Amino acid sequence: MTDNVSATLHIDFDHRQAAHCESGVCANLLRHYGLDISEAMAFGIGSGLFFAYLPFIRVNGLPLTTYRCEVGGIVKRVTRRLGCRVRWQKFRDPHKAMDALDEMLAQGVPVACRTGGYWLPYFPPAFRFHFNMHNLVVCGKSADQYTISDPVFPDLEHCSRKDLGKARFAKGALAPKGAMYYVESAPGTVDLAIPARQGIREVCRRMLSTPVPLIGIRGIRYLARQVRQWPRKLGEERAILYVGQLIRMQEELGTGGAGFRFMFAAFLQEAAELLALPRLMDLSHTMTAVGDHWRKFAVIGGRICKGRASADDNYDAMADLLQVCADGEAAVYRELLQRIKG
Amino acid sequence: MKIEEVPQDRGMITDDRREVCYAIDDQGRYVLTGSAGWEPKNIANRQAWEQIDQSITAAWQAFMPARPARWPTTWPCIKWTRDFWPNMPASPGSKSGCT
Repeated sequence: MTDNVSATLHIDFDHRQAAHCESGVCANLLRHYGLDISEAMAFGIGSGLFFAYLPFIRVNGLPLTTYRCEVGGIVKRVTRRLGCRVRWQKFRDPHKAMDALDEMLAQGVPVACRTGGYWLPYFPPAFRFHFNMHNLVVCGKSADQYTISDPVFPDLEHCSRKDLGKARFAKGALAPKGAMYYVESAPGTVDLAIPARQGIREVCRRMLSTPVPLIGIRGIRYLARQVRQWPRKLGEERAILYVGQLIRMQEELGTGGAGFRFMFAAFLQEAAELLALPRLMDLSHTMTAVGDHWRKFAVIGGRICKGRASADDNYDAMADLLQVCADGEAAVYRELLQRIKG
Repeated sequence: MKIEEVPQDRGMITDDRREVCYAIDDQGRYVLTGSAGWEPKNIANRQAWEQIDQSITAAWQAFMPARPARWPTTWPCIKWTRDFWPNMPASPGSKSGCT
């Protein structure tokens, strides 16, 4: 390390594994700047929780269901609410993009990049889908190898310049276009109470009162009605594909379980202490119960996909569970709105 | 989900790495804990890979029009492929390129 100082850059970056890439990157980056917040806290302040069933957007030819907010939304809201300045950059030219990354690293700044998971060599083979919304932090470089703090992996990983360049310029839907971002300035200390209230309020409003019937609680109910019709409308074979896609969106891609519902419940526990609102603890438990229903939904779906469904495992049972989830979540959001007013 | 309920169903992750899950401990407090995978998720992912394999095979067959399907037997087409492109795999998908 000492004989080749110019080629070796090492930033002392505290890597912690997280369930989800964007909230994990956000928490790890902010911790580097002295704002010690957990992943769940970042997720909550960033109003990450969401639901939308968008059948007109297709992923692998199947409808998109999302349990989280838009890409980049968590980082944007967290940094805005905490008063950090973040610089976002996009590039057309991969060489310029990598050079800009090198330049920031040389200044000792950890840089977060949006990448396509397919191109990252340290991903286990079964995870190498074309998935263009993966966030990671580059926190060092030696010769041709970059040191990567990828929040969904337990340890620091390494990636060659060529592979990282490909990952940053992955093609296809939601292409990252070399997007990178880094913190320019952060306040030394920050009161999390107001940002936490803001985060909760935004989630509740979005879930309860979006006028579009495909989004929020109405979206869950709409999906329930659709699920009931799938076997008739699509035929058994295609319906199974739709269910499989639903489960993947809910449980895969680092949701921490139950489509982020558990992560949000963890946030509510932290918020209960932070805001001195013990009632939020109970709401967290309710949210956990709702998450357990989402998991049951995935269990039944899994059995249907595998052709091992018993008499009770059918599309109607899944639709009923979705309605239970919608009822449970709606109650939590309504009460949350009341509680955080004060 | 309680800690003891966190699934450890191997499938996608083949090494000893773990993904992080949120689960509650005995006191009802959330903790981060590792999971090796979960069966419904493994099923859904396997299904997604099968879909990808199928579409690769379909694309391959569309790319090679008047070839396999109309030929009376399979072997001439394999031979034909091998003779003209000795280094080409029979099919980029998991299934045979000749049907």
